[in-house]
Amino acid sequence: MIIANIKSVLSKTDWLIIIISTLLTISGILFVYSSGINASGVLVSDEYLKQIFWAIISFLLLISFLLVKQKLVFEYSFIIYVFFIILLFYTLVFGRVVNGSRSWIGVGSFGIQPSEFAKISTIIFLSKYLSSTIHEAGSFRRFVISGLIVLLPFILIAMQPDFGTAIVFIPLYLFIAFFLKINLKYLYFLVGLAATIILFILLPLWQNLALEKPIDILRIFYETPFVIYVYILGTVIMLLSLLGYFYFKKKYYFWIFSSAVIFIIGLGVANLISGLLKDYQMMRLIVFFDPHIDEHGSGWHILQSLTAIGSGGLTGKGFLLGTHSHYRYLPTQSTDFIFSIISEELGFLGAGIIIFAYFILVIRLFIIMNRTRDYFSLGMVSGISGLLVFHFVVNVGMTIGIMPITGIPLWFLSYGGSALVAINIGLGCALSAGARRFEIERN
Amino acid sequence: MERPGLIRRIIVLGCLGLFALAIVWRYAGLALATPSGAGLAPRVVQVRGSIHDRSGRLLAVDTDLYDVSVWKPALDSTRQAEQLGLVATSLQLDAAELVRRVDDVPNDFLYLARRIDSDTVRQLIDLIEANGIVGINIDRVAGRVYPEKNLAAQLIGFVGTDNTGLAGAEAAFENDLRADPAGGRAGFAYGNSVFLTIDVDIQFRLEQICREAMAENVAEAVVMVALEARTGKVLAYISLPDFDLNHFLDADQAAWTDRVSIYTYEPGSVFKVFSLASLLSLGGIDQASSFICDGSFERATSGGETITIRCLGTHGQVNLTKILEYSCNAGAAGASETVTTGDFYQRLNAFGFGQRPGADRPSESSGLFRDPDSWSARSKPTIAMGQEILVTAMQMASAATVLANEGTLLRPRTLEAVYSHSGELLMAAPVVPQGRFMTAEDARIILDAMEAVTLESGTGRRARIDDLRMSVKTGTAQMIDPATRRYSDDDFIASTLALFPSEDPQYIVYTAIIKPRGESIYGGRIAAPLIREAALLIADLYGTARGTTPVATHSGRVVLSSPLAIDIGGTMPDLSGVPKRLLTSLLTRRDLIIDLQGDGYVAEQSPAPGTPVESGMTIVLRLR
Repeated sequence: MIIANIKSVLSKTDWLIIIISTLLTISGILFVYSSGINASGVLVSDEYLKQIFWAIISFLLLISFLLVKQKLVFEYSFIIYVFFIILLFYTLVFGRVVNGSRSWIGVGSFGIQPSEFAKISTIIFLSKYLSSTIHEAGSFRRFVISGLIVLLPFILIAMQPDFGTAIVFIPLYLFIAFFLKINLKYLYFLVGLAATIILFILLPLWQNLALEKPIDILRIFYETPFVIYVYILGTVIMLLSLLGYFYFKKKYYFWIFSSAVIFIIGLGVANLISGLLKDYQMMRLIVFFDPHIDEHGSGWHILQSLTAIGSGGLTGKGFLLGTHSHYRYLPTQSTDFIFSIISEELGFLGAGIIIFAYFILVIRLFIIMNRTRDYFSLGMVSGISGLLVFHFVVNVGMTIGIMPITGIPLWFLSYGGSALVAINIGLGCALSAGARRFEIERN
Repeated sequence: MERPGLIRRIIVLGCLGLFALAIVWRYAGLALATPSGAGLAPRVVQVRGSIHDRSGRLLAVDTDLYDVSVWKPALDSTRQAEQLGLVATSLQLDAAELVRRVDDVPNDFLYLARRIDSDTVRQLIDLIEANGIVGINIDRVAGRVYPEKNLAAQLIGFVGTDNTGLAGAEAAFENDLRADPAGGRAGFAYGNSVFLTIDVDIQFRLEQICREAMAENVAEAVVMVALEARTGKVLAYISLPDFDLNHFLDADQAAWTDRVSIYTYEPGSVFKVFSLASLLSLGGIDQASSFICDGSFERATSGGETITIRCLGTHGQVNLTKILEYSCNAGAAGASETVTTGDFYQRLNAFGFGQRPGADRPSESSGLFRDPDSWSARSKPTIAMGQEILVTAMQMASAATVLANEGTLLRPRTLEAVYSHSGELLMAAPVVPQGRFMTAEDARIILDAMEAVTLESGTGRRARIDDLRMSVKTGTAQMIDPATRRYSDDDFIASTLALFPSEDPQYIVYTAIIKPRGESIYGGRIAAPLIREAALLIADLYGTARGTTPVATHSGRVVLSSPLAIDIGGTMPDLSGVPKRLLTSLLTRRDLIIDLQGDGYVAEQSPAPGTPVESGMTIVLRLR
């Protein structure tokens, strides 16, 4: 039996989550409709119709995944994971290029983005692997294998190249690994490394643009031959502290060693990435510091978004009355910048309700997480809720200028079938985990 | 199952809570901030400074132009094609083409026409109002007008669409000309005015004769520079072909080339003036030194190789004057053997060769004058006759200031002064001496030798003006064919340098005719007559003293004679019609009694005309 115990499942389901997600999806359709209206009040886009289609499909999928036995998902998780990895490979070779990334497959206007689904399949499989190896919780092997599970789709998506979507896999991993007891030292190492990389990418930009005067000390990190000496020095410190650790077994040698490794790898990767980043990606980071540097180019999105939000004020201009969006000042307004339209037309109060809705959603997911009785469910729900939080923070943060611009959609609201379907499947799995929290124990 | 510890959950929730708080905080700040005017600078109309010639005649000035653009979302989609058609007719564009362009525009915004004048815009506005057209925007932009069109085009230069200088003086003095919006008052900010040293009258006339010379000699280009010899100020700056600055985009970009300051070439024989001046000032030769020209110059190198430089004729025994007069290659080559390569290089360098002249240009070429370390055995004699070195016309003209200023090189200047918008003098370009390395006597020797060039036997005889003493040197330089990398058989540069009047040089004129394809290619045949015409024009316009010109001298004192005073001598004159004013002198007469009656002019007199006058007579004059 694939589906069992419908009555019991439905009675234990958290309906508030379904209600809120449905309301958010409906608001999404309304504002996708609004974004399709031009200055003359004429509807110029049929995106909202497609969004309605995808909303219905995704609602059906949510219910299906709620009803499907969780054991089934657990057992097939590897196959699902492999299937989407293959699909990502296929996309990389045969995919359709949209906005400079080869990230679409499909025919006509009904394409899908496998990378959106890969997020969910990776969550499920990672949860399965980590939950079935929970007996060796702190082992290094577990850390490496779980890392590889995430690294594979990360690399495939980054090669499309869709760096914004690829980045999502990092918090996804951290969330699940954190709750499924990967040795904290490894996670600290990862977080430290990520922070170091970001720091060393941003430091020269910050120095040039925000500070506007050179800091001599920074030159040693970016200019040859100094940077080579820095690498050599770092390596020497690393080796010495390693020796010290083996001879004296003192804890602090270990921390010095770890710091040195983080520093060397972080600096190296940062310099490598700075070299690899395309001009437009560099500009996005630069306008993050000061959008006025390139007002009509890379800074355009953020400035227009800020203007739209600011012009909304407390109560907004009213539904379908936003001028900034209808005059097409906002680029990609139905997808990445849907929140700006909402802010313009509904104002702080309306958008505040939207934010509050997300807050409730996340809280309810945390409650489910708290109630789970098995590691697989815990991992899955934490992955889904982590992903939701990350999407919300990055997308809304981007529209209000506290995050760099990445093409990460605002779940439920942004136009885009794949993202909508993927999050509803994820939500279905999470709800299912919440509704059946006693089943696995019984098995 | 063992639950994750409380601390783990607190860490996660804490982080997320902080994130959420940051977002709500920032968002509230954005959405609820009361809109304030701060940060929005009031719009300031920026007026770029004008460019003038030395006496203030206008060469470049700002005007209002308009950009017409379409914002697609604002168009009335039901009547789009019809309305765009109307706009297209008004702007003289193809209607179908315009509709297609608007349909295809990727980002909803499109310029229909840029920088159109106010008449067209007024018609367009009427049309828009009459037909209720929406979605068409008209923006005022600053535009630049060049009233003298082609005149000194490369010197003046032009601005881009955003009114920033791209070439010529517009680019060189960008910082002066550009209006600083921060310093604006009452919505207007003005740039400073730049006065150039050129004289529009001279420039225009010289351009005319150069244009004729270019046509006559079927030349690719003609260059001419005229300098005030004593100040280094450029009077005329000519590079043909030229172009209309108002429509510089329509011009062939080859015409944009500044052939005075940027184009470089081998100068040929004219350069002998400077090589011989160098040798003379270094003490290698003097006026009496003589060299034998048997048709070629030969020298054995230390490597045992013999180098040969061929001369155009067999000139026999030549001295400095003869070398210049006959343009003798062998003599110049022989003379160059009297100094070391290092000295020779340094002295020519002092004349400005291999260096940027500094004539206030946005870009200048320094030519190509290689370091003596890379010279071959041939280099010194070859350079002495004007090969193996690349120069610009400006370098040639400015080097001649050494001869006119008793051995001192002057920096050539095209900037006269900078004035603020209110007329205040901000900067007057000074005369800049660049160092003295030649005695006045030596300079005089060279000038005299150059005067011999205009003799009947000299190469510059066609430049001679009978009543104006000129120091001249002509040259015909071969050009490298880039395809074969050898001297071309067809391409030459005919050039001439002149300083006049020889006794006290006031003007320097240099001209080069590039790739003439007419009857002759020789400097003495085609460039020398051009120099003659130029010198005549300059001398006439500036009133240079010439042998046969009738020169009216005046002491400077003007005596105003009193109007013909009336005097009465032996017989009585006819005074009828004489004004009263003229009669006043009669009142001083002691021997006559003058009785003036009435005002105005004499109507009756007594005694009658012809009556003998005697002492003590009473003369009655009735005036009316």
